[in-house]
Amino acid sequence: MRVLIHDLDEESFKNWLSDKISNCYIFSQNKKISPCVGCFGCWIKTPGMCVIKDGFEDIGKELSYCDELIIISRCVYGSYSPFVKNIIDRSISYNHPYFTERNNETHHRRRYDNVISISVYFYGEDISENEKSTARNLVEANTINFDGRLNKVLFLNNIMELGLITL
Amino acid sequence: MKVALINCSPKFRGSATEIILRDIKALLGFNSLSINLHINTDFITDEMINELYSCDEWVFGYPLYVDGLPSHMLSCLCEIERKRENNKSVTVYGIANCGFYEGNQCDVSLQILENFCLRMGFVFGTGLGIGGGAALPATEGKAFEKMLKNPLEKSFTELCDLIDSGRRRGNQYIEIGTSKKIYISVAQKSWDSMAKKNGLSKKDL
Repeated sequence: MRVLIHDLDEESFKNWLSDKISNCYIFSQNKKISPCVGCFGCWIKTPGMCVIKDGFEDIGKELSYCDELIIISRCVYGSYSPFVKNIIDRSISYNHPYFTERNNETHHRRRYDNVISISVYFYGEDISENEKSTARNLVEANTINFDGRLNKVLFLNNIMELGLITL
Repeated sequence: MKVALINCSPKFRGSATEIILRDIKALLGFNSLSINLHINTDFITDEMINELYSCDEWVFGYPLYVDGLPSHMLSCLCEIERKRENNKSVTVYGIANCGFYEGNQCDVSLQILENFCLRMGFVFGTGLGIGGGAALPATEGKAFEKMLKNPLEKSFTELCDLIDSGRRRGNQYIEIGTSKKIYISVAQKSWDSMAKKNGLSKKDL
């Protein structure tokens, strides 16, 4: 299964993405999302599931069924947009709280066996070279944390260019 | 200099960020007047933005969230950008703390903060990434608090010298005063202990 996280409004999604998507679980801004409060309840109270019940509590679980993660996000200072970053922040239950070492750094152990291939499409009209470099670094770091595989990081000048890509 | 110490932890109290900013406040020189602000949710009021702009320097303290800034902090930076005051020059400092042992894992988040400064036309003073910061709240007031904080003190003093004078330098990354092996061992025992309090066993985690 594929998981798509995007921050497009309904009309843009319909225009540029809906006919490219199949076998995909989608996280979109169709309802209000609460930010992660750093309580670690998803590790020590309800392992694998966020304790904030707002319709986004199952992100970590959905990632466990996923072989490909596609992220479509406005590039904000070299980060994902606040909505997409919120989804990523709320996904930490995908990992186990215990530490392990990868690349001589501490990271969290994997909870599940699936290896996720990660593709990220950043869009924005005036993304600077610094922001592109930071965004690549961010996705690479996230890939290590997910113990996944980086497929691609692409930068689009606007959301219309989504029409040119194959997902 | 008027300095805004901005706690961007979502926790109301008792966070590592709160402890770090408290230590920074104590080390600032007499010429620096500091005010405390707390960004703990995904909106920032006009009143808070006005308070920020009353300061010459902004010191953002935050926990590292999945290699970047916490989403609620990112939302507030976007709001600050939307309401930017042209011709106002501010110097920004970032202090990130993470649950991983290595302070340099905060690097990308500091790049993001620096990119925000470039968008705003601000000066990015410097960034400090602190590894193992998650241990600070649990050890506060205990015998080994001083040992854990020992490597931080020198960096905090140097950072406060920069803040006092508005100077810049490259980012710095440090770890708390214990070995990686001990840190990982204690962290794992603490997860077990917290799980037990919730009626869970190690296997349930």
